[in-house]
Amino acid sequence: MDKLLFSNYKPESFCREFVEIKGNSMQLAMYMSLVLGFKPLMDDWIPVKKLAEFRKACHKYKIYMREDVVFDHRKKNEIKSNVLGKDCLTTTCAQGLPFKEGAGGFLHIFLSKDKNILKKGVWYPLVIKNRVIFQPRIDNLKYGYVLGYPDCCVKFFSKFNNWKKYSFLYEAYKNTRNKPSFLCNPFLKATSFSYIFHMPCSYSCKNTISLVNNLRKEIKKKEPYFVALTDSYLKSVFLVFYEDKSYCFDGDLKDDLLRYRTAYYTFPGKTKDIYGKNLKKADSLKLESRKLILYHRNKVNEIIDVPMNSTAPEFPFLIKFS
Amino acid sequence: MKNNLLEIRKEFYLMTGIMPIHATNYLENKAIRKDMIFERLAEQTFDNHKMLNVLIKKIKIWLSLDQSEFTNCLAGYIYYLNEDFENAKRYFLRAIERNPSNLDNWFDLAFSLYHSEEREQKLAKDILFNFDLFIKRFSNQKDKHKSISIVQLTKFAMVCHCKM
Repeated sequence: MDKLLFSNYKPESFCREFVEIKGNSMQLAMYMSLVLGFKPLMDDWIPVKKLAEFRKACHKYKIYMREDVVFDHRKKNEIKSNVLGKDCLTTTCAQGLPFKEGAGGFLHIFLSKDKNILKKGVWYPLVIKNRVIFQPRIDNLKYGYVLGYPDCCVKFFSKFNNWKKYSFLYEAYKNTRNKPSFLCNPFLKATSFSYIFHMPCSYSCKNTISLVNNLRKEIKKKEPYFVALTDSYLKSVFLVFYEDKSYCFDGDLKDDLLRYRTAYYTFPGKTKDIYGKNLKKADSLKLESRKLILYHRNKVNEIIDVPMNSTAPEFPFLIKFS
Repeated sequence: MKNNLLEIRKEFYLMTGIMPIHATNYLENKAIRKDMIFERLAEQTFDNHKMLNVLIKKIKIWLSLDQSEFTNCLAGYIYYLNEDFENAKRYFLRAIERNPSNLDNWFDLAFSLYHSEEREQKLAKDILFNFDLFIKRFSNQKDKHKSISIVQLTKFAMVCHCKM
């Protein structure tokens, strides 16, 4: 594992245009999945000034595009305190602006090979005129189906996606009956190297494995090196606390002891890298319930008690994908 | 008529367990949303198509008995949940005709349009970006029960564009 994990990746040819136009390779596998016909719909944010080029690339790959609204992304603490509904905002925080050709900002778009499916695109909560406008609940519940996620995962998500009460990722971990498969690894979706962008119902979900297997085979025919890299990154050990709060290790897990050379916080740019410095000082660790025991040269360096939190409860776990 | 509405509310509650309360969300109330029926119905019918199918049959009967804002909103919710956005649009418009001051109705109409054809998607966004102007314009109509059409809304949206 190396710093390439957090760099942009340019394919040799397949879907290369999208990376060049956007200036990043986020959701690369989703673009490939869409073009190959596996994914019915996806959405993304494109710089308005690059729209003309992006339309051409869509035309080349026979993809239809629906223009939504311009997002002016903000951090939650940048949203004024008197904005109605501010406290209900979660991961996406943005001011919404009407789209005008030639203006600045990032345009939210929907993409599909089927023009009719574009109508199913869903509104994101946006700040407009001092209030957050939320989408109807049913749109939220159904969106997973529209995006092509397996039924079992959509249903599981609707049941456990209550961040005040559950740690969704831990619920999926508890639901994992077989060996965790790298094809079900969602923890690198903030990098260029992820086959899935949904939260699987377990890390050995048969439906996810089947879907991704087929996708991976087709991508491998066109971009074998991308597949080789993605596989190697996904087949790692992860220490997971909560959404946006997990670490990937260049090491090996044996008999509950993880020996590692480097630890990487998997969401660059986010602020929940609480244990990065502690992990850097150690070279192995054990997780005993809520105690994180860090070792350096076989001696205990530090013991961290992971707090429970009254909301957004954390249940840390170590998981090895293969 | 009032008796019909009472009966409909009672029947709805017995079928779904959802309180048939539908308060007006005035702009000045500064509430995100006052109606809870749409959300509760979504959670109940998401995994339960049987319930939705029964409601689809029932709403036709209810609409023949009553044309109040409540029943039209209920129709809008049910058709929206069934992804019949043409009908959802129709009934949310009727709800707005009866009570143009209710912000919830405007947003529900906007989202029905959001899932329609391209021209109507544009109108949806116009309503979402100018909801206060739409409410003010159509609440000031002399005849409160005057019908409102998509064409009228589109014309007004163009006026909003000129002001922006």
